Amino acid sequence: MRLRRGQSAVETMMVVPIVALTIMSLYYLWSVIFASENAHIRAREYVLHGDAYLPDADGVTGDSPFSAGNYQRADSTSFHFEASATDQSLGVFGHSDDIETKAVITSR
Amino acid sequence: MGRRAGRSGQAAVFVALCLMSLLLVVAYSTNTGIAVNDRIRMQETADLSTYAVAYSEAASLNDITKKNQRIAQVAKDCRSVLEHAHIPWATPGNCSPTDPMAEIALQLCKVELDLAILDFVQAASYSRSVTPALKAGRATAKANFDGVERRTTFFESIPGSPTAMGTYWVSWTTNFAGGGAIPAIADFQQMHETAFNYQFMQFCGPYGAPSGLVMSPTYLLPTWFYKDDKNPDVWVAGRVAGTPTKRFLDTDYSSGGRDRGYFGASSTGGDDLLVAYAVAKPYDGSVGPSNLTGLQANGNSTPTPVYAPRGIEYPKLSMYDQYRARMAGIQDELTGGLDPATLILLDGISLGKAWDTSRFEH
Repeated sequence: MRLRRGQSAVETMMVVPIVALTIMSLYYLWSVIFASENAHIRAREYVLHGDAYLPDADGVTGDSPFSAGNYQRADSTSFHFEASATDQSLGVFGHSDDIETKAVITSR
Repeated sequence: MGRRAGRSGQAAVFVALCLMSLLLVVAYSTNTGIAVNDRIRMQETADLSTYAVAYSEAASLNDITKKNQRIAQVAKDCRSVLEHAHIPWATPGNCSPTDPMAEIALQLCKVELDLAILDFVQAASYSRSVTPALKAGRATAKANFDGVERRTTFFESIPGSPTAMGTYWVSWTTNFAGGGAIPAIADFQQMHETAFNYQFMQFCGPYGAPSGLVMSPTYLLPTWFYKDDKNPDVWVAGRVAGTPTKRFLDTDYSSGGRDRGYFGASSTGGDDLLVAYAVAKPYDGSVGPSNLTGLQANGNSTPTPVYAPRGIEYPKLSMYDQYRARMAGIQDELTGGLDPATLILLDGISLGKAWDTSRFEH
């Protein structure tokens, strides 16, 4: 019986890191996907609505057919609007990713 | 000993089960994350590419409007020439019912009008307006989600769609060869009733003496294009679909497909298709006068002689080259609910409900 003393502790010590690693991995994956979705949505909104979309939003730049409170007159069938948005995933394992996405409205 | 032997490996089995469960959770979570991300990108691509089509059409409509303004301007200039600064035309010795110099001016007007009309017709044609718009939509799809442009449709072949070739027409009857109808971005009809005439001095007196001021016969010339009330009421319905490159766990598999497997995706065997729909439209412009009564009817639909200028500014006032584009919505009220399956109707696939253009809100 003495030989089995501490077995549970050892097993727990083995399993806990695996579970913790798995949970942290899931958390990291979620944060990356969240950041990606966030960046995509922000880029999409900015390329459609320009400065009307959260004018103080960080990490969003580009141009848009929307300004001065309305969509602009369509001048030419040759056009290109593009917006970029960046977001950062949450730090896990001392590491976080910068996610950069862009949204484009173009004729070419 | 026997008791201990019976329990050996118990922990290994337990750990194996736990790991398998964890693995499934990780796989499912990964699946979900990627699917949601792809679905968001798919919708973004549908929105932006549909908007690109509407924007391009708006630009074409502005160009077409300018062509119509040009026709109206030519008509106005013609009238000014025929008015001859309010000095009657006079060709000594001429006793005919027309003045030869004024007739030459009139013929030149006809030629100039025909050229301006031809310019309009070409700009309004399907190949010059709708085709580049559809190309812009696919270019935008490619720029946002590479690969899906091959599975991007704008319902240009569905009857009732304003982008359907042959649904809308430019109609004109002019004196230049080949008059008829060609497919165009909207239904434009040309007014041919605009009347032109001029005043001139006739020399029918003794020895060719002036016999008095007379009005020439009335000539009906084709001038600007008019349209029905809201024409062009163009909306663009877009559909973007894509099959994710990675295989997913199929949570709602049906061998018959259309089981709304993944976030509205159609699951047919190994093919998990993500689909997104969007609607956009050009708005806020007017190509020209409508055939309504009142000011919008341009006040010049009868062949009244025009020596006394009238109505020429009316059509120009109703030519407003300020088309822009915006996203539109899909109205689900008529279906009696918000069943996402009704959206699949846009794909032209019958689910027991008829194609209904009234579902589109502008």
